[in-house]
Order: sequence, then C-alpha cells, then structure tokens
Amino acid sequence: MVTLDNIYRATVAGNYKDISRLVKEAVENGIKIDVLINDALSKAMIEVGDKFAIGELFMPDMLLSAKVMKEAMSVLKPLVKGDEDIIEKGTIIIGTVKGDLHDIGKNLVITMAEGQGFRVIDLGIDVDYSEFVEAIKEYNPQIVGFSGLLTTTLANIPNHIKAINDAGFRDKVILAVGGAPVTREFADRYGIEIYADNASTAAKEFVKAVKK
Amino acid sequence: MIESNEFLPYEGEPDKKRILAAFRRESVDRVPNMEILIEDQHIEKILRKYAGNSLSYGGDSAKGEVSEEMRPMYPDDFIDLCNIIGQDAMIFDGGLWTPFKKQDENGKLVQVVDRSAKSRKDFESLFLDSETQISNTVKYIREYKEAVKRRNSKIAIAPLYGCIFQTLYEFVVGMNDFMIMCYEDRDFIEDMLEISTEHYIKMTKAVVNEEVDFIFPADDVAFKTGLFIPPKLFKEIWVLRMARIMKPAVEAGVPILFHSDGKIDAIVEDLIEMGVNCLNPMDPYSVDYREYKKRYGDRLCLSGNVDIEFPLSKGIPDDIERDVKEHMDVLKPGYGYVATCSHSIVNYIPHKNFIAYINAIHKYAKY
Repeated sequence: MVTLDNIYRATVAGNYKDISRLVKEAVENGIKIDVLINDALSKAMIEVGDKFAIGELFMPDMLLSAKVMKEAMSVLKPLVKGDEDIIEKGTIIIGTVKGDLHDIGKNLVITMAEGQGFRVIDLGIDVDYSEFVEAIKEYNPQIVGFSGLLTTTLANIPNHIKAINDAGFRDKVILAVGGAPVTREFADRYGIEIYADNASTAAKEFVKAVKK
Repeated sequence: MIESNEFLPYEGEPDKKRILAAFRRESVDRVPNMEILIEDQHIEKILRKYAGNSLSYGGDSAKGEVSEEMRPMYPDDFIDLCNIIGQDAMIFDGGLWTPFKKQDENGKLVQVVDRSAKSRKDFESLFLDSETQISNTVKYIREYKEAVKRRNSKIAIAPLYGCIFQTLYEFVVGMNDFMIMCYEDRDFIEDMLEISTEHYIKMTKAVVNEEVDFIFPADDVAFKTGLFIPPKLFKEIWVLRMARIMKPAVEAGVPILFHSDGKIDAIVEDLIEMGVNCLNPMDPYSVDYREYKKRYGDRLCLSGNVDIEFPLSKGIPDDIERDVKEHMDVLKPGYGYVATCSHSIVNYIPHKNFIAYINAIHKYAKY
C-alpha cells in the first residue's frame, strides 16, 4: 500500500515517472490530499532545497523534484476543484528587477515556491516598475518578490516599492527580496517583510508569511 | 588614504613579461593588474571618447550579443587604456560563445540566444559557424599584433573564449532543460559538448599558431554552493573536454588563464592537472581566497576576488584601499598573483572608485 513515505522518497529522488500512479493510489487508499501535499510533497521539496543550499544536491536534482511536484499537483488539482485552497497556498509574483538580467536565483526560488504549493507568476528579467503593478492588479498576489544580483538592483528596489505604493497596493501585498548583494539590513531599511539568501529559506518564509 | 580624481603614475610600463612571469609564479617587479572586462562608460571617461568596452566594440558580447557590427576594442585604444592604468594584457572576445546559429525570419544567420533547442531535432537544425569565428579571431590577433609592433608596446595579447557549457545552458537549450538533460539524456548533452569542444580545439590551435601570449578559456560552471551538476558527472563530461581544448596550448608552452564564477573547489585539482597556470576570478561569494592561497599558491597563480559590490560599487576609497591591501597581504607573497576584481569593472561602479582601486593596486603592488 502506498504510504506518505513512498511519496516523500519519490519526490526527493525526482521520480516523476511513478509519482502520478503513487499519488492516485495514495488518494484511493484514503490519504487526505492536504496531508499528501503538506506532509509528503512539500516536505520533500524542503529537504531537497536544504540539501541544495549546502551543496549536497545539485540543480538537476532540484529540477527533477520540482517536476515530481508538478506531476503530482496535476493529478491532485482536479480532485479539489472548487476547493483549491486545500492545495494552493497563494499566489506569488516574482521578477528580476529593472536593470538586472540575472535569473538563476529567481528560477530556483520559483521552483521551491511551487514546491510549497504556491502559484507563481514569473515576470522574467529586467522588469519595469509598471509591470509589477500591472501584475498585482491582474493576479492579486499575496507576495511580491524582487530578485537581483547587481548593485543597480538595490538602487531600483525602492523605486519598485514606491510604484506599488503609489498604485495603492503596498498594504495589500507582502514584499520579498533576495540576491547575492542583498542583506537583511537592506530589507529592513525599506520595510520589505521577507528576506532570504537561498531558495529553500525563501519558500519557508513564504509559507510562514501566508499563514499569519 | 588614496585620494585622486585621476590615475596616478605607476612604476614599470605595461609588459607581457610581468604577467607571464606572474602566471608561472616567478619573480616580478610589481603585482600585475588585469581586468577581464572594463565597461564602456569607464573607458569613455578614461580615453575621452567612445571606444566600446574592453572585450568588444559595437555591442556587449559578454551578455550574449553577437552581430556582424561587433568587433574587439580597437587596439590603439586598448593600448592607450593599458598605458594609463598599467595593465599588462589586452584581452578580447575571441569566441566566448560557441557559434551555434540559425536563420532568422529574413533568412539571415544569427546566433542562437533564445534557448529554443529542446531536442536533438531542434539542435540538428542549427548551424555551427566555426570557420567564421576562428578566422575573425585570427584576424583580430593579427590586428592587435600589428598595433603592438607599431606602437613599440610590450603589452600581451590574449583571446577569451571557450564557454562550451554556458553557451548551451544560457543560450541554446535553457538552464532548466539543460540541467535535467544532464541526468536524463546525457548522450545528447555530450554530443552537443563534443561539437563545441572540437570547434574550440581548432580555435586553440589557430591562436597558438598566431603566437598569442596566453589563452583565456572561460566557462561558468558553478553556483555559489558548488558545481551545477555532481562533480563525478561533471568531470566525465566537461573536464576531459576542456583539457582537450587546452592541450594545444599546453604542448606549445602557451600559458593558460581560466575563468569560472562560483564555487569550483571540486575541479581545481583537475584544472591544475590539465595545465591551467592562473585561476580567475575567485568569486568572493563562493571562494575563500586565503584558503586558495594556502592550498594552491605553490601550484597556481591566483587572480580576482576584490568584490565589485563592496568595496568597488558601494565602498569609499578608504574601503577600497583597505581591501586591496588585504588581498595583497595574502596573495602577493611568493609571487603568483594578478590583481583583478571579482568579475568586471561594470558601469555601475563609480568611476572614482575604479580610479581608487587602480591607484591602490599600484601603491601596494611593488615587491
């Protein structure tokens, strides 16, 4: 009989080929969907993210586990139609800020956030102030994430925040920031609620933030 | 504290002998300074005219821009630049990205940058414009050599090239798909890498034949936590290939400077074994330069690590001088050190900070 542990291990192992069958069987055997997601799939993604952060696992491992997560969710989503709150923790908009072309870190955060059940809207790189604002209007996210690797990133983030504020959305979203030169002190200075220096931590912080 | 709005005079004119001696960890009069890339706004301030960036003119090849209008910086401008800042080498884009091309909507062959090759069929529809890239590099080496001779300069000439891994994940396939393929379709990955490798072996032979002073293969193969893929796999698919690319230079006694961002601890011994003389840039977010000096200083010349974020962008001249001195204190003893920043002198570094950085290097560089 399929257990939560089977699903957990399959996720860590990146076994996307078997996950659909395992998840279907688990549901048929009475395992609740929210338990499946929170105690097996998402938990496994955290283990993968943590091991990646310390160099024990590598990019292909993380991406294959993310693929497992996507396959599993494609099975589970139709089963909770009308009750999506069970599996979707919220919506995140994320982009590399204006003037910055880097996206490796952003993409890792997206992988981990989706692994925690978030719907993530990726705005891409070199995202203008107005694009974040338009995306907030369209997708009504809980969290807006800024990613960047350059000092120009740091100079532009206050402008991004101002644009969101001027549009009347600042108190409707939680802001997050990350990237090599970003610090906790920087985040605090501009009132950014979430700071993370790796993708796994970012995902955990996102989960904490929406629970509050 | 160094306070100046201009580059101060330094001792010892730019001379290839200095940087080549540093690569071999031999004695030198002063620590050589060298940057892979100085961006265009700095150069315009220094030369008082637009002259492109130090790798390319007419576009930014480091960001993947490739066009017929682009070429390396004009050598006379580069010589002037080197004479002002005391740099011993002119490094130009000699083929950073493997020239995989496809036809655009007008039927023109353009470099693939859209990450569209997701299968063998997609990849096999691409065209490798090997001869064009090699012949252009040869042409520019000759142009640089002619300028050096005409100007009675002793500045070294080196092509930067060889991103066999990064071309694929950054531009041809895309990061996520490429990384998964490393596990799931290794044969395909290796076939793509092999095509790049054969091309760059020809490139190395061609540039060695033109008697360049050193070669500068580059490939970003790591993240801040380590290699993108497991070391064992990476050694099998990349190390052996990069060694083949370098081999014609090793056999000809041409020194090799190698660049990769990120934490490359897992392959440093391999790089030494394949004949690399100098390692760049010792990414400050991933590499402990003190540890590298202890572990590799008797076998490798080291270059880089002065962080472009802090102190170069966000620091003041005092911070820069302090940081340069700290690096000199650790890396200078025993020779085998080339003073370089952690990546490139980008436009967002305040120009006065670039001046302070160069002046600090020359202040502490003398042996």
